[in-house]
Amino acid sequence: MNYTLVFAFLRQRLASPLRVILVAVVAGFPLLAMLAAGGSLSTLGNSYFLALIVSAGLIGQDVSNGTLQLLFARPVSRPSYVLSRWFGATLGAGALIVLELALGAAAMALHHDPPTPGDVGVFLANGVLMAAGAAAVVTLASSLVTGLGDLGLLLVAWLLGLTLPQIGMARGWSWMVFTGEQLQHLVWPQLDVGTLVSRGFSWHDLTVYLSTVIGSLAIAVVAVNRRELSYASANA
Amino acid sequence: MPAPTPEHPSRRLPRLLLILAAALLIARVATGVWESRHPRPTASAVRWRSLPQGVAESRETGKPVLYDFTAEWCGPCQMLNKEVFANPGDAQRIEALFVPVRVQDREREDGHNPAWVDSLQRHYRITGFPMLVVQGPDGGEPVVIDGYGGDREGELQSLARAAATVRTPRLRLQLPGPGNTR
Repeated sequence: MNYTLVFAFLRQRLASPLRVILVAVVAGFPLLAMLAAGGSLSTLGNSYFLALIVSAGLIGQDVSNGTLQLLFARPVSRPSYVLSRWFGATLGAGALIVLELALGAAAMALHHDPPTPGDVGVFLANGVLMAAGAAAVVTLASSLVTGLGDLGLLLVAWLLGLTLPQIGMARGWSWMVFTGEQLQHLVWPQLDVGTLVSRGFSWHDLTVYLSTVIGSLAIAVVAVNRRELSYASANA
Repeated sequence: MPAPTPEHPSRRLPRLLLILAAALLIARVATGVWESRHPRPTASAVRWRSLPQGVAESRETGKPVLYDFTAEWCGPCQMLNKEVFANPGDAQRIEALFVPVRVQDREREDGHNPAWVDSLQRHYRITGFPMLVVQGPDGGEPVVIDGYGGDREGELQSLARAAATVRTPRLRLQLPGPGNTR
């Protein structure tokens, strides 16, 4: 892990007005609603979308604008670069989730209905796990395409994950249902701590989540390792 | 990880990461096979009433009936059961608001449904599963929550809204929900 790269990534994200506005919209409206009428922690914006806003284009944009070519002229290894970008995205989204949680809990307290420590713990754990998972999947997608093409790839995978099980179920093709379910796990990596606590621990749920996150990062590193970067290339 | 130098370019094979990813993939497949052969009990924590019991209790207590139109072969139905109805906390919230009645479709398995199931499906114009129907004790227009897409909190919020809605008669409200199958 290269902490200079991690903090450079966070500074880069904070300097993007569009991302700041999107975060304010996604997190701000639910907070305003809670402030006005109360509600539960589930009213808050989805951690997945916060992670998506922070991490979209985290490698692809560096390729598009030529930063990557310059960066790899310095003594920085590609695996270290990829893992630092992912960690930076997770850290950034995690910080937003903590901030959102603090403001949401304060809004609930103003309505004399503060969240229980258990609810806060589950929300925080789910949010950070979701952020780490989403950032890993965006890292993978962003290592394969340039610019913000990662969002397009995720959208296609999400649509396929929704439709394939329906088609498979209607036609009785179990392989298609299975493929669709795996795509859903890939696009939406989630480990619901509340369900694990209430229904008992599941090794499968844990390995599905971890293999998605670690597998995505491993493939992203391999993809960036294989990428040929050239100043002469238009889109490298 | 040492810093790259001109003799050692920026490309590095992340052996540890690749080994870990491969091990987790194997573990994922192995635990998946294991859990499919030894399924964990996902018995519903909701105490489902029979239809006559449910209707009588609804009239007695004034709580609306929650009909769960479901089928064993339906993936989103099993997900709804696993994530919401099997959760003791959620089950408690549901029982505080409703008198729950499960309406299990058996057409694919048995070739036909019990008459009361067919009758309820026709009455509420059930076109897919899962479908939750909230019916007030005094009749009136029901609220229909169509499908389940894995948003547990959203589902609970829809149910809470439905409970509030059926207390005042209004037009039949169709709440959207992905993951509906037929």
